[in-house]
Amino acid sequence: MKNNSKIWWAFSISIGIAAVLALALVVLFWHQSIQQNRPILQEIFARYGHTILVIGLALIAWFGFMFARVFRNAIIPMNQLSEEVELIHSVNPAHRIQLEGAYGLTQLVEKINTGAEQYEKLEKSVFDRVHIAKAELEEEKNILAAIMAELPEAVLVCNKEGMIILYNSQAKRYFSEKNTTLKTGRQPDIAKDATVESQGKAHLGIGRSIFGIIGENIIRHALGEIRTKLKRNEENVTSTFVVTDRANKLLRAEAAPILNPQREFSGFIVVFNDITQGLRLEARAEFLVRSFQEKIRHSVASIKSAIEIIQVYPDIEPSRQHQLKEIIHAESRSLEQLIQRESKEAFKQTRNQWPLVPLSIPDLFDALQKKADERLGIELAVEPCTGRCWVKIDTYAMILILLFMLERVCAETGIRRYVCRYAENEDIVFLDFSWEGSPLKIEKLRQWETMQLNFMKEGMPLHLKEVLDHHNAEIWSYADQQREKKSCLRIYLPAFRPQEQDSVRHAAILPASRPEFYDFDLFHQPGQSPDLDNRLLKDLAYTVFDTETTGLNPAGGDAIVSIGALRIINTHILTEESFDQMVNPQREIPLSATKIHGISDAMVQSQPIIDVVLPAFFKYTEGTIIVAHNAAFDMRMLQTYENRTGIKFVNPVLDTLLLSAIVHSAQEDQTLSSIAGRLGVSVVDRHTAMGDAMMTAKIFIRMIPLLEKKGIRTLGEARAASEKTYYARMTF
Amino acid sequence: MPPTILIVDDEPNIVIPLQFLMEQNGHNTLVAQSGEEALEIISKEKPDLVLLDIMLPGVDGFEVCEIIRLNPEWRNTRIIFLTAKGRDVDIAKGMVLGADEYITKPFSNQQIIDAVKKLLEEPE
Repeated sequence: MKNNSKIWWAFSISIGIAAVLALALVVLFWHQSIQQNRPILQEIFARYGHTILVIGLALIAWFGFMFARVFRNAIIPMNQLSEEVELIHSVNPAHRIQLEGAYGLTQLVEKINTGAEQYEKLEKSVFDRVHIAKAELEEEKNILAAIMAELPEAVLVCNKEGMIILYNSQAKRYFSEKNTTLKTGRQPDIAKDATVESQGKAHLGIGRSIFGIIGENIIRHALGEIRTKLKRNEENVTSTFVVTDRANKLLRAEAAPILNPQREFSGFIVVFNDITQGLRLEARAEFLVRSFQEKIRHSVASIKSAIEIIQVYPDIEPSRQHQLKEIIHAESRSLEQLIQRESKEAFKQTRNQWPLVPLSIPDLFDALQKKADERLGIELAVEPCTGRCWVKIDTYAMILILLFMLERVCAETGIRRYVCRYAENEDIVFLDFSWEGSPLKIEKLRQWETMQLNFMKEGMPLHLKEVLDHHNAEIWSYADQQREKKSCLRIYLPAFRPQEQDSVRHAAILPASRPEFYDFDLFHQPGQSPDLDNRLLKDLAYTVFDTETTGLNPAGGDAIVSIGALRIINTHILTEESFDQMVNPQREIPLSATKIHGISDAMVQSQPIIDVVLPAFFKYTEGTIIVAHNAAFDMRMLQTYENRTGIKFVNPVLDTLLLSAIVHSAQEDQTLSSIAGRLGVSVVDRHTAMGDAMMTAKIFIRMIPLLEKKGIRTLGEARAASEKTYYARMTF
Repeated sequence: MPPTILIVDDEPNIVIPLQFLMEQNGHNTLVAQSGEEALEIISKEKPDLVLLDIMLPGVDGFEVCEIIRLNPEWRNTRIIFLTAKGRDVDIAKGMVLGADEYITKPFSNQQIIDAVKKLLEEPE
């Protein structure tokens, strides 16, 4: 009930009570008077009746007026005061009470505000200390999160019900829908086709089920296998299987259990490795080896058979003998080609477990130049070369090789200045280090090759030759034909064409705030689908959304032009899993609406229509409670598309307008901005779907403890209380 | 009448020595360079023994072997696989399909001569 109505009710009731009391007084006085006095009284009433009546009515009116005044100036403000004091000490210590009322009351408000100042300072100091401690903890968590995020493997951690608690960037790359991790900007960032493609697929997100990402049967099978292994106390308790990601890459998945201290199964972790490339290489290598083997068998069979005939039948006619010799010659030549061409190819495919990275030669020379100067006092003059050759090397090992060689060349020649150049010939890159004098002897190089690759207390337990072999590299020293009296040490390396970039590893940047890739509280989440009404508000998953429309009349044909939504899990807003999508309403947007939300006809022209957006949004809201401010309006907007799209939102709904009326029933203003002001939520991007959704989400989270104080803890209780509020009767 | 040997291989460099060997050992020889050609010759000439390569253009050696074994008229034809496919699975497959012998390349001439002789002497 609104405050004005309350005052009028109070005023009327007061007058009524006063009138009844006055009448009762007259009746009582009449009955108790002595019989003989009644004519006198009758005469007095006859003579002064009007005056008495007027005075009586005036007294009653004055009494009623005073009562209403007290009600307005003391009782209602006291109620508001009570709510606002609670607001200060529960969610918003910065809130100050501004009430008008009786003198004593305003004095009290002043005292309370002064107390609030003190309280705020005290809380801030406690908060600062908590904040520092929390920041340290957060930093540790963030280090973990950053490491997790940049692991080359995709990782999903789930509780025992299969609800995702943690995932990393790689998992996001493999499994998430590109078009639903939307940006908050206004640019047309989603192609219609991409959106259509995503329909019917589940989203990856905290609190969502893994079964939507990977087949339920395969996961249940893996969990069954894990449980059996656990029962048998087997050493290896993992289960491996192969799945495909959104881009149909083959992923090798390994699921392992997470046990609590009592060794009970409390969740599981699944690690995914992209094996597409590996399998392809393996298959290619196997094919090459097999075909290599078969070709050798063929040729050797022909050669062997021909030779045996020549040996066993020495007298065969010369033409036949010549024919057999031709076979031997042709097959030997084919073997030679096979060894030169195909074995090299097979070698390329099968070797290189050693991790090699692409590097341009100028960059290699640059690094080498500095190290040679710093550590050996050797000057390297790099000749300008055209082109930018690339090689694939272990940078550390290659620089070590080059320093190792330069140190020895320097010891042999006594020269401390070398000219470096590089050139590319077909598939080979040459790195030359030249000096004035004789070339190194081949025996010397072979000797170096057998030495362990040690250089100034650094090195590896491998011989130089082994490391060169891993790089498929060779070394040689020769007299430079083009430059008189000059010799050179040449390193041969296979050229690398950087067309197909290897998968890029990003720097692990510690985020300023906690990345929303995990929520370990979900470990304690109850089952996936128990009776929702009995669950605590703070434990539920929510989709908080807002729509911007062409107008305020859904029944009259107004349409959605933008949907913004966020998810809340365990009272955390998952901003990285937002849904922000403009919609082409297929009708004109009135200027009056554009003035409010800033969305014009031109901006929505290239955007998908509601038939495309709504299915994606429906998927986004799956398994969550829908929250909106003045939800009746937004839900009505969604309902208008039911017939057209066949999509019906059946999720339970909570309305922050109604919830605010529960926690702040004495407050007149229940607009989003006013509630935000009361609860200390900053107002940003007002009247954009995403901005309002974000504000609603923050408000909702702050309301949960206030609702708890009113005894409203579960979804069922919140819904029941909402229904009883004044605003619940509003319709659209 | 001397036995007829059909040599099925698309590599002339192996066919020539084989043909010479078989002829030196008193056998008539026929040559096919593909599976289809082999089946055609088998249906017309009914050779006593087939030296069969597996990797052939078109119908491969395994299929030729299977077709021969499924035809009751040809069930007495002896089959020797003579192939570069040396994996255990290939050998097992060849034998299951009904080959009498499986010889992997490279082989010795004597090995072939002995195998052919043995199979031709065996009662049908």
